[in-house]
Amino acid sequence: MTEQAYTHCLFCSLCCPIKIESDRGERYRLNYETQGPRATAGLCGRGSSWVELVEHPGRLRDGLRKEGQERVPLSGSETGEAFAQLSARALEQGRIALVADGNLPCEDLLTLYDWASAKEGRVAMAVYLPPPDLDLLEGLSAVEAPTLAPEELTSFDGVVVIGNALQTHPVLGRALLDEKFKNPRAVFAVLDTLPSVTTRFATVALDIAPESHQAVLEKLLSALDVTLTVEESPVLRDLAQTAGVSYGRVKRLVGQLQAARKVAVVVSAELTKNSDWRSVGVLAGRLARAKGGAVLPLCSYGNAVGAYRLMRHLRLARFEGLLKEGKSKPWAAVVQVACDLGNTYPAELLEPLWGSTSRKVMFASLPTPGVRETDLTIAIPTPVEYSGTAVTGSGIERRLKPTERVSPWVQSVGDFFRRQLGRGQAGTEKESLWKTVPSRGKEIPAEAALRPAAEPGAGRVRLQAVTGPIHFDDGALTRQAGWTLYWEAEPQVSIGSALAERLAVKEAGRVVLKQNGSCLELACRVDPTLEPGQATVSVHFPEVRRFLPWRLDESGARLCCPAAAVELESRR
Amino acid sequence: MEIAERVVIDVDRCVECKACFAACYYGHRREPIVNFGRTGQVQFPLICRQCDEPTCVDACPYEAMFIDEHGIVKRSLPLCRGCGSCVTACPFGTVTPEMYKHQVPECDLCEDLVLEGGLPRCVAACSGGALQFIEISEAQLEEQGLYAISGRTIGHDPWKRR
Repeated sequence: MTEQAYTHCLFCSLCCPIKIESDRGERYRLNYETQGPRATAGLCGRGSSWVELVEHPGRLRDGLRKEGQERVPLSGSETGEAFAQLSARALEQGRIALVADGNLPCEDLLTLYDWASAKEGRVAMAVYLPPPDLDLLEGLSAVEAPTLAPEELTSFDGVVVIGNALQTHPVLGRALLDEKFKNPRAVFAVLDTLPSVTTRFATVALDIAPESHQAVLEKLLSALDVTLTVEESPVLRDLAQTAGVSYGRVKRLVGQLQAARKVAVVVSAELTKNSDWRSVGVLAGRLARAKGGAVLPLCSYGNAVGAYRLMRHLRLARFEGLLKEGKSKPWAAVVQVACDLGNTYPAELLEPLWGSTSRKVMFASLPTPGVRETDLTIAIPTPVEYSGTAVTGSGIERRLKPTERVSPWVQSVGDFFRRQLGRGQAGTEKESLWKTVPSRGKEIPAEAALRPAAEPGAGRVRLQAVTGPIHFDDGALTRQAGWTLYWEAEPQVSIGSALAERLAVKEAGRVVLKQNGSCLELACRVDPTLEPGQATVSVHFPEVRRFLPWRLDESGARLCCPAAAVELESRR
Repeated sequence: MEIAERVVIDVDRCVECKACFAACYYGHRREPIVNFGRTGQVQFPLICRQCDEPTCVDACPYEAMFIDEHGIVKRSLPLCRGCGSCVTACPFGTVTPEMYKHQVPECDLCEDLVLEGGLPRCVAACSGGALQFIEISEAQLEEQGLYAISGRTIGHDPWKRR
C-alpha cells in the first residue's frame, strides 16, 4: 500500500514542497510537489538527498543507553523512563542545558519550552540557529526591514544580491534568471567577496574584501542621491576606493540603481565573508527601503524565521549563551535535540557545554559522531518526516499530516516531551507566537557597523569558506548522501594560479593549511579567477568547520567566524 | 509512439547546481548517469543527446546499447559488460566513464515519466531553467529569443558567451 504525505525541505529557507511516497514505511520516493505558488523549479541536490537520509542503513530506530563500555538498546517507553531518571538525577546536582535545533517544528519547540519551564528555572533552553542566519534576522528586525517571498521577485525591476545566492540557494535561480532575461537592462548587481557563479550573471559585480560589506553599503546608500555627471564625484570616488573597484564600475552601478524604481535586496549570509551579519542586515534593510523595495533573506535553516520568532517572543538564549554559563559552572547534563554541535564546532569551543558535563543526552535520527559520546540516545524522525509547522520567508507553512507520518516506529520530539509532561496531544500550542513578527529589535550603532577588513599579513592568504549547492551546511550530514561523493569526496582548497606557482603545486596536488598551531591537509584545485591572497575551501565538511577561526565576541554571547589568515605549504 | 523531444541546455542559464545529476541519480537506482564538462571555470551537464544515428549503438560489441520502439537510445542491463566502448565512441562525452556495479550508466530519457506526459527528471529539477525538453525548431526558438548553437545547446546570443 503506497502512502503519500506532503512536507517541505528544511535545508534552506526556501523550503521547497516535497511529496513523500512510501510502501508501508519502506522504499521511499521523494518528489517535488508541483502544485502551489512556488512550484517553479525542482528540488536542488540537497533536497533530493532527503531520501538517502530517510533510508540510511544506520538509521537510529531504538534508544541507546551507555552501561560501562556497552550500549544497550532501549524501547520507546524505556527511553522515556531512562530520560526521566537521568534528568531528575541531574537536576538534584545542578542545571540542565537544553539545545534544540531550530529546524524542529514550531510546535515541538514550544513543547520543549513547556518542559524546560516546568523545571522552575533549572533548565536553560537555547535554540540553535547558525550564527549568520540569526545575526541577519536580528539586523533586519532592528530596522523593521520589509521582506519579500521568492515568488514576489517578479514585482521588482532590479535586484541587488549580496553573496553567492545561486549556489547557496540554487532553486532561486529560476525566478532570478527569468526576471533577468525578461528585462536584460534591469540592474542585477552582485556584491561578493569572491568571483562566483552569481557574479557571472551580474550586470555589475563588486568584488569586495571580507568584512567590508558594511562600509560599502553605507557609502552606496550615500551615493544613491548623487547626480551623475561627466565630472568625477568625490562620493563615488570614495565608494570605489572602499569597494576596491574602478570608478567607472561604481558609476555604472549607481546609475543602474537610480534608474530602478523598486529594487529587491537578496542577502545570503555566509561564513567567513563577514563576521557581523547583523550590521549587513541593517544596511540591506535601509537600502531596500531607499529603493522602495524589500529584502529576501536567504538562511541555511528552513525554519530560521519560525525559530527566530519563538526565540524573541519567549526570550530564549542563543546556544552561545550556554557556553558562557558553562564556563562559570559546569552543566549537570546537556541535552542536544536534533543537532550535533560537535560536527560543526571544534571540541575546544564546546568544552564548557558538551565536553565538561557528566551526562550527555542526544535526540538523533542518524549515527553522527556525537552519538558515540552520549550516555543516552533517543531516536527521532528525520526533519522531513515530521508533523509540524515551519515558517518560511514566504510565511507559508506546510505540514506533514500526522496520520501519514512515514516512519511510525520512532516518536517525535513533541510526543516524547508531552509524555514527559504527562499530557496528551493537546498542549500549549501558542500558535500566535510563530505567526506574529516580534517587536523591533535593538538598533545597531552606526559606528559599530563600519569595520575595515584586516589584512592577512605577509606570507599568508585569507581563507574563505564557501557554501556550495551539494552538501549540507552544518557538516553533520555531508557524507551521508552518496551522490555528493561523486563531486567532492574530500574537502579541497582552491587557490589562484600565481599562488599555485609560488607553492609549486598543481591541480590535485596536496597542500597543508596552518593556523595557530593547527594543520589541515587538503587536496588542491587551481582556480585562475582567485587572486594571490585568496584561498577558498568548502564549508560543508566537519574537519573544515572545526578548523575555522570561530570566536566569541567581547560579550561572550555571540559566535562569529571571520576569514582566516592561514599559511599554505605544499605537501610533497 | 515516437518521442520527438530532446533535452537541450541553455548555457546562459546553467547555475552549476548539479540538481540534474542528483535527480537523475536518485531516480535511477543511484547510478551516476549525468556527465559534466568544463570550459574555463564553467561546468555544465552533458546530457545524452539521444542521437538520430547513435555511435554508441554501433560501437557496442554486445548489442547492449539499442534504440527502442519510441526512438530512445537505451542500455540493456543484462547485456552490458562494462567494456566502455560506448564511452569512447560517444563524440559528445555524455556517457560517463564511472562504472556502476561494472556496468556503464546510460540515460534513458526517463521514458517511464515521458510516456505519461511528464518531464525527464533532470529537466524537472533544473534550478535555473537551463534544461528544456523540446523539439528543436528554429522558429520556436526564435520566438523565445534563443538561438540553436549546436544540436542540443541553445542560448541567447551565440556570439557572446558569459
